[in-house]
Order: sequence, then structure tokens, then C-alpha cells
Amino acid sequence: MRKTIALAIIAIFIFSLVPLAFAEEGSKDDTRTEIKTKEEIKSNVLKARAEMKVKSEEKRKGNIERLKSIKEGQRANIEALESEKLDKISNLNEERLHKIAELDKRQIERLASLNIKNLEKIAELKTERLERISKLNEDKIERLAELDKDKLEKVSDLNETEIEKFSTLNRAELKDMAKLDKERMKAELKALKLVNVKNAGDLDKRKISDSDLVQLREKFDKEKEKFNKAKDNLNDARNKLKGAKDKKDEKATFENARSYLLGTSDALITHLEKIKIKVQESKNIQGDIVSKIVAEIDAQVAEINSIKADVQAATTKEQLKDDAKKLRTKWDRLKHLIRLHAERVVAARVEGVINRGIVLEKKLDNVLAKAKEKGIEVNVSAEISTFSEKIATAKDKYTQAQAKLSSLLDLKAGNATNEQIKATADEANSLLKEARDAIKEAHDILKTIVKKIKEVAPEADLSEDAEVEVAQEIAVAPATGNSSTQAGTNSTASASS
Amino acid sequence: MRKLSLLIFVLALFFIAACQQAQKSTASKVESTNKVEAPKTGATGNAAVDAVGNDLNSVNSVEKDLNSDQLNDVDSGLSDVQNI
Repeated sequence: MRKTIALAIIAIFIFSLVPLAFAEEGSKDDTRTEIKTKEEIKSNVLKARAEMKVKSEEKRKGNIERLKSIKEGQRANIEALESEKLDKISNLNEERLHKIAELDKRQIERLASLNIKNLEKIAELKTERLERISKLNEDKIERLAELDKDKLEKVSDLNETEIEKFSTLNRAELKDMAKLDKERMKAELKALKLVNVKNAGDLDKRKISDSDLVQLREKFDKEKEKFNKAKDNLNDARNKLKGAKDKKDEKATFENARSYLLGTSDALITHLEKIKIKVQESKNIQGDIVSKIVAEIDAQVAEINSIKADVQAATTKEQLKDDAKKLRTKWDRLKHLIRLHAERVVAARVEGVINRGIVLEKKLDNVLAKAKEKGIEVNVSAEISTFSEKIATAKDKYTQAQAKLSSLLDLKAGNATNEQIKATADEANSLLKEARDAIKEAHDILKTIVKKIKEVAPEADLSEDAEVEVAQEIAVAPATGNSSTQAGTNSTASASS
Repeated sequence: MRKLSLLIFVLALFFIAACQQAQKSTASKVESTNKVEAPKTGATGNAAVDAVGNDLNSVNSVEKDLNSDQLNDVDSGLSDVQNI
């Protein structure tokens, strides 16, 4: 019996090795087949490459043959091109070929980077126009080449500086400006300067140090807490006042009325302080405007403090009633002022996001250009155009809102009625909402673009500090003391106008 | 006879189990050599893009903080005091 069990165990052991051996044998067979297939593929590839090389050499010879009509000195520039570029240039008709041959080597290189359709379009331009356009970099030439023929003619007739500015515009702005007549286009371009920036922060109207920002935020949190407390006290005092009036308790009525007036004063002061801090914290409100707003808020706070002192000193109901009237009149005017400055803070934030969008579009272009250099094609041109349009819409709405807010400041200075101020603030608010909606849509499109890019080029990085060139409005001296300007006062962005 | 059939049954079980194991280990070898590292994913995978979203949130937040709606009943409260 023991013998049988021992034999059975040995048999089990031996049998269990059999399938493993089969599996190993199978995998060896697979590996052998794999190696054989790889060798076959390799030899086919080498063969195909050799054939392609021969064909490409023949094609190159044919292309060079077509250049015979060009002067020898000029021909060398074209012959030096890579086969693909040479193929594009040499297949142009005689007239276009001769025009391009007159350009220098770098200019020819740039034009040869265009696709055939765009190259044909650009080569149709008159020699002097072609000369101006081909001085731009590949990316800018490509943008211009995407324009319709008549628009391209119009743009190429501008001077070099104007063409440089025009081609730096974001897609949507470029498209819109191309629709203008030449004189209007010149005027608009004159109002622009080219700025090199690493990030959207470089476009801020003023710089605030990180430590100052931290301090301002801490201060804001304290004022917010004080405001909430004052508001709670206010509600409490009002309820108590009602109760005392119902009970006809004269002393309690007086004390709670005083308490309510003091609470109102505190709530108004802390709310004004909150706005003041947010204005100081806004990087896109110019320094001189910040100073004016701060001075105005301080003056209002001083007036409320004066009323508050009267309330504290009041000894009769009549005095309190008089103080309540003063406070009510003050609040009636103040609510519009508060609204105006709050909208201004929101507008400044919106401008910051728009600037981010403008810089991002340029960074996307850089990322796509780098991917193209590596032979990676990402088809996101439609999405980037839509993104650009959304940012341009946001910018347009923001600019209109900003104009309303500036006019509001002028209205205020000219003792405008509360109704006028309210109506203008409503319009500005609605325009800013439209600007924000456009940015939200742009953000959604941006997510899609980045997803597509990451799928084919995972190493692409939009956050890197590469410098990009953007067109910005040149500072305009304010017509009145209260007018807002588009001036950039930052020192980090290098500009050329 | 009974013992013999039991033995054959046990051997067959071992055979099947061993075959499956051998197949699995070969497959996992192939799988591990063909495995491609999946790209990392995040909110968008890019800080610059997420910053736009954060900026939009910050606009909403500042608008809420500076809204004067919380002081809407100041008028009626002051009116109450004027009528004491």
C-alpha cells in the first residue's frame, strides 16, 4: 500500500511537469516565429527605404532641373532646401518661382514651410509685398496666409511694423481687423504695442508683492468678520427695538434705537473697508485710480464716523431721529457708490482672466509648433479658433463694461442722480456677466484642446515660462481725472511700440 | 480498480490545474512586456488651464463678498428709528 502511495505521489509530480514543459515549448516556438517575422519586416523596411531614397533622389533631380531658368546665385538658395520644401517651391509656376528666388535664403526657407495652398496664395503677391511678408516668422506668415486673397493683399500693403503688429494679434482679433478698411486698420494698429510676456501676470496694470497680498487678505478676513458681527447686532437691535416700541418702554426704545444706528454705522464702515481692501488688492486697477477710490472711501468712512459720534452723544429721541435721517441719506447715496466700486473690482478680475486667455492662446501656438517640429500633428485649429473668438468676445464685453464704469465715475463726479448711476451700473454688470460667460465657454474649449494635445504629445506643457508676444493697447493719457485707461504700468513686460 | 480510477481522477485534476497555471504565467509575461505606461491624468493635467477655472471662481467669490444685498433692510430699519 505504502509503495502504491509513494508511486502515486511521484507520478503526480512527473505529470505536473508535463504541461509546463508544453507551455515553455509553445512560448519558445512563439519567440522563434516572432524573431523570424521581425527580421522579415526589417528587411522589407530597408528595401522600402532604399526604394524611397532612389525615388526621392530622382524627384530632387527633377525639381532642381525645373530651377534652370533662375539665375545661378539665386538658385543655390532654393537648391539648399530640404527635399520636401524644394518640391513645394520648384512646383510653383515660373512667375511665382522667380519672385521667390529674389528673396534671401531665410525668407525662402520660411515661405517653403507653408502648405502648398498658402504658399501659392502668398507667392501671388507683388514682389515688394512678398518681401515684407516673408520677413515675418513662419508662424506669423502662416496666420496671414490663412486670410482671404483680398484681405491678404490689403494687409501686405501695410508697412513692416504694422504687418508685424497685425500678425501678432490673436486669431479672432486678426480676423476682425482684417475686415476693416486700410486707414482704420492703420489707426487701430497704431494704438497697439507688442509686448513679450512669460505669463498673464506680466500684463497686470500694477505689481503687488506677495507679502502685501497676504496682508491685504488677512485684513479683508478681519473686516468680513467684523461686518458679519455688525450685521448680527443690527438684526438683534432691530428686533429689540420693535419689542420695546410694542411695550411702549421709552428708555429701552431709545437705547435700542441708538444701538441700531451704531450697528448700521459699523456695518456700513466695515463694508466700505472690505471694498477698499479689494480695490487695493486688484492688480488690474491702475495705481492712480486705486488712490482716488481709497481717498473717496476714506472720506465716506469719516462722514459715517462723524454721524456715529453724534449718535453716541445723543440724549434725546429727536437727536436720534435726526441722526437716523442723516444715516439714511448717506446710505441712499452710498449704496450706488459701493455698487460702482464692487463692479470695478469684478471688472479688474475679469480683465485678469482675459489676459490669461490671450497668453494661453499664444502658448498653445508654441506647444503646437514644438509638436510639429517633432513631426506630431495635432488637429485642434478649429477649437483654438473658437477659443480665440470666445476670449475676443469676453474682451469686447469687458471693454464696453469698463467704458460704462469710467462714465459712471464721471457721472458721479458731475453729481449724477442715483438713477443714472444705477442704470449705468446695471449695464456694466450685465456686460461683465456676458464677458464671464464667454470666458467659461472658452475654458471648456480649452480643456478639450489640452486633452487632445496631451493624447498625442503628453510632454506638452502650457505652464512653462516660455516668452510669448502679445499685442496690447498703448497707454492713453486720461482725458479727465476719473477716466480709466488701458495703460500698462508693469515693469516686467518688455514692450516695443 | 476503485483506487486506480481515483488516482486517475486526481492526476487529471493536477494536469488541468497545472496547464491553466502554465498558460497564465506565459500570458502574464507577454502582458508585462507589452504594457505601456498610461499617461497621468488630472483635472486637465495642466496648471495653466486649471488656473483659468480658479480665476473664474475667484471672480464669483469676490462678487459675492462685495454684494450689498445683505444691507437691503438698512433702509427700513432706519425708517423704524425715524418713527420712534
